[in-house]
Amino acid sequence: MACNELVIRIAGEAGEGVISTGDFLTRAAARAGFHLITFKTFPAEVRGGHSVFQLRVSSDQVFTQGDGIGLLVAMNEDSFDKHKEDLIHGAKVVYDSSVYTPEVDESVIQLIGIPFFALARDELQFELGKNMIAVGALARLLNLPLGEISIMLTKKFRRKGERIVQRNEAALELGWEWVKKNLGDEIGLYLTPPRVKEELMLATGNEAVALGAMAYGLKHYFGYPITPASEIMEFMALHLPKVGGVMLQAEDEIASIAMAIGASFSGVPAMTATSGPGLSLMSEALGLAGIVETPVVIANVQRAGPSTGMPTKHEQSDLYVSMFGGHGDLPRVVIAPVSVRDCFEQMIVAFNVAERLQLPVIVLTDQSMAVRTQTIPMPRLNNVKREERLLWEGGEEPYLRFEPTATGVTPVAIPGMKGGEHVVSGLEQSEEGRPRYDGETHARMTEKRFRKLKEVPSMVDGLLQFGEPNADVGVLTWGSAAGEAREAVKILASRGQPVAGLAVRLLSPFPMNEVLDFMAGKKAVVVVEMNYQGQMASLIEGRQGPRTKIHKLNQVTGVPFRTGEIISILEEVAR
Amino acid sequence: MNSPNMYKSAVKPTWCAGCGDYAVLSATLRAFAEMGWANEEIVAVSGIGCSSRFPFFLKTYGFHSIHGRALPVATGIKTARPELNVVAFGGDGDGFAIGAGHFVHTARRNVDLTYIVMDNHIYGLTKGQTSPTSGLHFKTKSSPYGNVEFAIHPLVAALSSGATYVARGLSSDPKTLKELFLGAMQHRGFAMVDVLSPCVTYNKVDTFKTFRDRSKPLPEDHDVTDLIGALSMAMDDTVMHTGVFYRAEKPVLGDHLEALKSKDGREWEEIIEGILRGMT
Ligand SMILES: Cc1ncc(C[n+]2csc(CCOP(=O)(O)OP(=O)(O)O)c2C)c(N)n1
Ligand code: SF4
Repeated sequence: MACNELVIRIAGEAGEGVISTGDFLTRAAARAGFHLITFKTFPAEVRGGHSVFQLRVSSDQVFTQGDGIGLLVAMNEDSFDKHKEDLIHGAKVVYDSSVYTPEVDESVIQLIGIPFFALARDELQFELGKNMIAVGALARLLNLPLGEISIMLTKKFRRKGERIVQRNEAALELGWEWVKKNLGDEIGLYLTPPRVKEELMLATGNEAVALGAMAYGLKHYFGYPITPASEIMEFMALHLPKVGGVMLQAEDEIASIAMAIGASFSGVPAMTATSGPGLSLMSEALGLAGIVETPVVIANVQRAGPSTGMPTKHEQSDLYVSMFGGHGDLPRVVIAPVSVRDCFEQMIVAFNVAERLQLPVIVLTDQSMAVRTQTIPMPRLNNVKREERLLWEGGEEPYLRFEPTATGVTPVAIPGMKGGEHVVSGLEQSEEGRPRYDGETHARMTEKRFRKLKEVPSMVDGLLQFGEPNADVGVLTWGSAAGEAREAVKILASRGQPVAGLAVRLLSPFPMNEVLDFMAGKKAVVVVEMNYQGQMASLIEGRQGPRTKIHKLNQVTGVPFRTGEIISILEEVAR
Repeated sequence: MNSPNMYKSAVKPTWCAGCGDYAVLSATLRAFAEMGWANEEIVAVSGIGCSSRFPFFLKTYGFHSIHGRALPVATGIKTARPELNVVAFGGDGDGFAIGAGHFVHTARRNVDLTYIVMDNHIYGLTKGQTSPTSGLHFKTKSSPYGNVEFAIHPLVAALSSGATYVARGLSSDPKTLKELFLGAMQHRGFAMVDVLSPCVTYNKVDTFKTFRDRSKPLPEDHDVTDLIGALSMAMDDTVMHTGVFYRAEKPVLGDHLEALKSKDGREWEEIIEGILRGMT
């Protein structure tokens, strides 16, 4: 028997190798072409405490980390007790039979005992080999390629010497052979190989943001550490110098964005990334970028707020600050990717928009997609479409930095261009860049800056439709909640219950008409977002047609929605 | 030699008649001329304040940014385009109050730029409130009963944070001022010149005369390579010394960043593809 997909959770004490076991299996599965999403928790302490690694493996695209566990690998009794509630009907539990035996109703749950510890001690005289025995055993149970794991193992342990490599290699094989000999192929955990085998890579949302920026051609990054966005900065620190670029760690977020704006003023694409507290600090400079018409991209990885909030916890509560934060009438674009893969793609879009329209673009991701590892199709650099800033071409006429144009976009002279000398300012300014306080100039210039936004909808794929568009019930969402919503709609469709789905990617300028069209005539629309106030729902409430009832599904528990919760409310409103 | 006038824009300074900042402007124009810099290779960056209006009066590239943020904007420009000549201008409020954090960090990084502060011991643009360099008991609109805070020592902050050229001048002595600016512009590294530049409208205590009376050139034998000596001169509360306190050769931020860049000759695409392949 084989399965198309499986949610595997590995749990144990910190230091028991939970995370490394998960990493081996993840990479092996990805190399075999399986799609997957992983989720890990580390205990707060460096040692001691409980570790969890969850991976959802599938022969098809996956949207969420999965609600219930199909295979629990519990290294000790305590770990089993902590997670038994999440086991689905028919789940399997792999446990260390030399340590304990879980108490379960064996008509519902299948137990697979493997004496990891005893094998390591008695067969190998190498107690630490327990983890690699588990990797080998699980690889056999799941039918993952042993050869790939062996290559990864050598790479991982090479620095520790040949002997360590050999001992771990022996452990890996022992686990594999033990399962082969004692359990055969009868367990039913064999994963069906993917139908189309495409080349996949593994990335977190944060890595995808960084890679998207680099694929656009970014070479100048300025940042300040903040959970859960720091990995973007660290990725840049590691990789930007390789392409002749620069990552500079600023003294605070105001400095990071000011540096990025300065770099951009000098003519290069530039970005920063942060989380809520940093974005709040940046709001004055965001307005500066808007008025001096300097492109800048800000990735904001949302976490639970307000204030310091819950730094490591998931939330989507920065919609308001992203759309409306900062004083004055400030033209900006806000794009929220809907998945890890989308993080990569929307970063390229963000740079295209920022550079072409000379304005600040916020890319709004969130903790859930930022830290999970997911398979994404290997990007092809030659498919990347890049837009560049419109540069001044010189000439005899005096250069006017803010000369009016039909699109609102004025060619830029950058330092070094002779004859293009000009001053930009946070003050309202005339066409040539001189301070002006008369209302007429302010009105003209404000309109010019906002005129640029007209082009945005044609540059951003602002809406992601899914499900059955004509269904009487709809689900409306944004950001990573789109993953859970898509999964819910897919499951309901398989049960014969059609639901229309819409994820809004372009949050500012908000595609109000399209969203209202989506809702038009529907009986009920559920707006799913991870915040308390219903920040997106509040934008549309009261504007929909008389028949449509809006239901808000909000949650601020710090963890993503369960698909089941979305299914329940959709079923309820459909009745 | 270039003429100072070629760096002057058509914009007439908006400063009050008699403001100390006029002298800073003319000294700057003359220093630019002596440097022989091309107009388009200069970027003048500032924050907000009367003094921060500076870039408008120059025929160079200019960025009049937001209050306190001139130095990070300047750092961004210099980091991306090291070949440009970046000069930052501002007031004591801009640099030592709201921008104090950036000031010490720009010094610490030894970013290769010149920073000229027009230090009038008051907030001019906002019409006369106490500044971080205002003296104790000084009465302003925001300290009607007298200032209850001690003044900051900007030069000490610069020196202790790692600035590699630190000087003080008087706008009543434009000749020396030009020399100090020239030295700062020629210097490779973070060069800061604090100019005692009176606000004739809102500060009736720190005037051309009192600044002159309270200041004195550094002793002839002052050793500009001696950091401790420079610090003790800068700490002296009995007299405000003028001249170059300190000068040191040290790698600049750009040197360190440049050294990190790999020069293995591979194409950009190849490098990125290598990174992607490493993630399977
Ligand atoms: C964030 C912010 N806070 C306050 C202000 C108001 N403001 C403008 S200039 C200034 C101080 C000016 O003093 P200084 O920097 O010493 O320059 P001066 O005008 O004396 O040359 C203040 C407080 C502002 N523009 N922005
Ligand atoms: S208010 Fe003071 S600092 Fe401002 S221009 Fe007038 S004299 Fe100069």
